[in-house]
Amino acid sequence: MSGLDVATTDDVSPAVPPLIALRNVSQVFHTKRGDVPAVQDVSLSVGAGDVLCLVGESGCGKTTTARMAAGLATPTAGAVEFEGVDLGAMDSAQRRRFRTSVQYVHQDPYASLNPIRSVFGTLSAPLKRHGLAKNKAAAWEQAKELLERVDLTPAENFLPKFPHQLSGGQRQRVAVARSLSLNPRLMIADEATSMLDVSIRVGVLRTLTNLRTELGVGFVFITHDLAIARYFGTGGKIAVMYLGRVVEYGDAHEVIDNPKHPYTKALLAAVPDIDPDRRHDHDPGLRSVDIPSLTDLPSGCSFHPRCPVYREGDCDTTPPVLSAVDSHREVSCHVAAEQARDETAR
Amino acid sequence: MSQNDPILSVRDLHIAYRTGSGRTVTAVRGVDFDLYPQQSLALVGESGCGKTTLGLGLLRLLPKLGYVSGGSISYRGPTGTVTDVLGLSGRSLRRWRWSEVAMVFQGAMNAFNPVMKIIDHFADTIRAHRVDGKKASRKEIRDRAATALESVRLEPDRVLSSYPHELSGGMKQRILIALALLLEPQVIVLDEPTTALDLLTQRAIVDMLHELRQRHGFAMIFVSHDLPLASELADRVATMYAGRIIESGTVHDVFTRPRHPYSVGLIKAVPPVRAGADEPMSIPGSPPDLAALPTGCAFRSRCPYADDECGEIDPELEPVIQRPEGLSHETACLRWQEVGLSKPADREAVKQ
Repeated sequence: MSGLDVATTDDVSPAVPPLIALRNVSQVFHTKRGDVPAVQDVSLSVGAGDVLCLVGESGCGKTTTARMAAGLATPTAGAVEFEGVDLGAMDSAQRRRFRTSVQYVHQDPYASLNPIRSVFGTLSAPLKRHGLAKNKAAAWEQAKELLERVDLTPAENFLPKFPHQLSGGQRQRVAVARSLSLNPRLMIADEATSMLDVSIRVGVLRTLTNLRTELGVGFVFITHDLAIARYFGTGGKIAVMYLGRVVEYGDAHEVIDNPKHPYTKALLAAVPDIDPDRRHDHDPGLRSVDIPSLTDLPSGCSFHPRCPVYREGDCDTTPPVLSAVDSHREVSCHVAAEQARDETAR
Repeated sequence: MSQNDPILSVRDLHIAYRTGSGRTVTAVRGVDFDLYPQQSLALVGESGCGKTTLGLGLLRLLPKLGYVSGGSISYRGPTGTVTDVLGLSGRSLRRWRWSEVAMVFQGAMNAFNPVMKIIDHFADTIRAHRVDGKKASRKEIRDRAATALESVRLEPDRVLSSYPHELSGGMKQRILIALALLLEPQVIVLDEPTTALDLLTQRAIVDMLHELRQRHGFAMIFVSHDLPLASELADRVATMYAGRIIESGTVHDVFTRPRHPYSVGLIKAVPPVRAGADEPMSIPGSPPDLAALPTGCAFRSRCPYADDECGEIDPELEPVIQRPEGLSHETACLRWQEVGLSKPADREAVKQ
């Protein structure tokens, strides 16, 4: 699949491998009810300072994909490479470097922080564990800098506090600060702002964007919110996932402003608009609301039972392949591919 | 019943919580509103603003440590009889609740008893709130549950014999709505009815609620932190901050011509999905501690318009535009005439 080729040819010179590269990875969970193909044949990559937003409905495989990128799950097929080295072939020193270089920020800042640890305790633990702070005084200084990075100032006031004394946005900033303590090259943020109030969400996203632009941290950013994906993905990519596969991939603003896959179009049509004059003018036009089960995937294109532009004959028999419809976009859809061919012919 | 009489009238409502240390924290501080038949009112605001507490208080469903510490709630039924909701207790409260005003709780995943089949949830609801005191037959329960489930586009035969874990989040949310509709109430309170649901499922539920409201003619109170969703579901919006309604009006008034700096801040904080819209901005600071409220306006420490007067006077709601049936545009800000969305430079200019 060519998601990788676009990223490598456009963004990274051939000499520098991307930070993280998923090469045709699949993840099949074996359960009593049968095999669940959570992710199938996904190829994606993220370079330094890049952002890749994974969007899609629950069960589409975005978290499983991110977990494989973080080395928290081993793909059942395909390979994950960190700076060009296969995770499965790493020696212990490489493995250790990978572990500190890739950090995961979870959705729930109420669950991801230890309630009986102060902010200082939370931030200093990884510094001590990996020998990055000589003594307590040095750890204190480093923890202070970390808090300043995430705009929790004055930092001295926050270091002695416990999670219950912090608001949701402050907790999430502490979680981000902790993930920064080991100078990661890549951050994987799984719905990291979806539990935050709207009033502070943009502030946390700006903090993360600064890490990207100032420190060159790469991001895999998972969200179900297309507006957030467009905002945080500015200058980066969006991969839309459906039932374990990438169905559309391209520049973040392009994908949202000019979607090509009928699934992306349906998602965008469903987004509520704050402007009351625009309400009720968007019907996703789906033929069915319910998502098919991963254990009983439809034949052909797995979106065909819901697809508004479904065509009998090819959509229900032949699975489409993710392929370029123009120089910046890849779509996995028979109809969109045909439209692209017609446009080129004209 | 006259269309011009409110179905629900809330006056100077105060709701407090007892804390562990023997103190009390007032989470709702003097809320007034009238809900008219068939209206849809959204309560919006950040977490901790009192919107969920207010929703629960309307049904007398406050958690153990919460209690109404002042004010009144009156309900006018379809026959014109007025009920003092705070005066109800025991059986009379149980009969009023659900048959007159029902609720769809937050978190569809956790609202069900995991070891009870769906039909038993319907049976429980019918038995608990039964008005005539007769025992419902199994057939009656099944028929009424089937009707309610069909109205939310679910197949009764498949759903009724299932356990909650066998159903998707969207199906469970639709069943919760069916349970709320079961006794044909006049008002439904929905607390974050689509949070944690996928976009397409959310869209289907929004469309369904519009259709159900048209068909059954109930009024809705919709509690949410999601402003775009509130804009889609409601006719009227009330913005809450630190336990008070600080702005209210039609969706159009509040979302396109807000007159309270907090509403302006919330609207500007929403990242737009459309190209070419303004960059989102967060609201600085966080809401005040309800146990240690500042003097004057509770929003002033975060407000770009605040001046000395705001530290002395806690403003009351005053009319911006007068309209009948609760549709007036009102705001609780001393400087509302300067406040608006249209001039983004305002915030910076006022600060200096």
